[in-house]
Amino acid sequence: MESEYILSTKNIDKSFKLDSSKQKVLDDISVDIKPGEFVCFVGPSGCGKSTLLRLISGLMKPDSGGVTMKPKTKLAFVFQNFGLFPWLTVEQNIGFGLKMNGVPKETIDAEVKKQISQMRLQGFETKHPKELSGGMKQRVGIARALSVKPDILLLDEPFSALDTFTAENLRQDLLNIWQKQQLTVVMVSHLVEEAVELSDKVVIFSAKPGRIKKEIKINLARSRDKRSTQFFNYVDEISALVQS
Amino acid sequence: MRYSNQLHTAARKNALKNKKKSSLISVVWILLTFLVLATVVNFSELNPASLFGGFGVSLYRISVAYIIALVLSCVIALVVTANEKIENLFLPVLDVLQSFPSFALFPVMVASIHSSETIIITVLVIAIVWPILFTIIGGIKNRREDLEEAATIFGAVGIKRLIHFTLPELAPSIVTGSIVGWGEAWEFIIGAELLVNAKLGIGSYLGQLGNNQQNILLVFGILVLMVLLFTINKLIWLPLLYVTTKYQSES
Repeated sequence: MESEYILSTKNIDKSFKLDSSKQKVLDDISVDIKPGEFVCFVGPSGCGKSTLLRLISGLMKPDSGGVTMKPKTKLAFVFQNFGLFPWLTVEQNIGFGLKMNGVPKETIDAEVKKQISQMRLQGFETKHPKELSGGMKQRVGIARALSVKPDILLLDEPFSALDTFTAENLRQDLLNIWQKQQLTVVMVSHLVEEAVELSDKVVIFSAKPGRIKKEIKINLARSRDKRSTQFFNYVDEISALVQS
Repeated sequence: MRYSNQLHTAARKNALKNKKKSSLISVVWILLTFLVLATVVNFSELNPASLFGGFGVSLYRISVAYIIALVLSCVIALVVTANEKIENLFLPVLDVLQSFPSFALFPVMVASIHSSETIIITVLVIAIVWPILFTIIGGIKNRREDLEEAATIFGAVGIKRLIHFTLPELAPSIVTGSIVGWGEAWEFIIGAELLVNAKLGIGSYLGQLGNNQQNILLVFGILVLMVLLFTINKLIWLPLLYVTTKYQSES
């Protein structure tokens, strides 16, 4: 029987070597994510949420347990510090994934053009990352990820290196893209308000080792009123769980 | 926002002005170099064919040795840093080998290699390989983890990874190491050409002037060599260094 989930992690354990000892960062992590769901991992520093994202992406291997995905599921990753290749221009960065996958040049050019328009990067096509502001860099990072047409978009604290206004604009852009393209989004955040604003489901982690404390579904209609009582109730509940 | 745009425009104008200035200096430098060289050679008894021909032959030898050393350095650096165990095993060995004087191997080379051309190039490869190798290893050790992850996530594997990610990422280290390597090479080629008694080469020509007690000509010859080396540095290596580091400095 086919699973209703696009992504599942089952009983994942992960430790890192620290000098001569081993430090367990994730303990028995099981999460199920449905197609089209927007899920946020929230927790204190060092709870292993970014490590879990890397395990899902295949950048790391778990010590035990596993990650299962629907066949032919494509992933893309957006990095906290953008992860843009400094020697490439904006359009070359956006087309990097397609080029590496052997996509014909005409198709790459068309997709890059589409992403530049979608992420409002017109006029910056031939600039290098060094010549861009933080917000523009992250727009390029998101455009690069979207250009490979992923089924699941993984984001590791994508707005934490940005100022408040830029972050808010990018959050709205991300929400629009998610709704329009019916993507599955898994995002790591340390901001509870951000998680409540964006997510269908918030997964709260405890630290050292990282364990799942609770999963909370956010039953608020979109677009969400960040000044509503229900919004604050969710924020208070999650904040209390993170701090406890 | 407006203030930031003004600053950006001012910075661009400044960069363009600097670039124009730099191009102008380069042209003046080339003209001056040729003028100085022509004057020195014309008013001295330096033999232009031997001097410039010798310089050309030496330049050719260094270029061949450089290409071999560059390929060797890249391969060794990537293999040695492939994983922690190999690195722990081989890095100390390379460190010891690096301090071994190249000319100490000279008698062995003379006894085992019968072509003086091969001996010179071998000595040069040994001299050039170390600075390039260790700057590349340094570059690999300091590379950004998020860029590595991004390259992996977006499918950069095998030869495509090498061409489109690894080499551009290491370009500043390669150029820095190459500049040091070429500097070493010019030192070593003079000695190597003298020791094997090469018929052609800048070292051989300067050696002949010294043997014939033509000391003033020898000084002129060395001056001409210095000007040529400065010119190569100014026209090739410094622009390469500028291009490779220009977009790499953000962390």
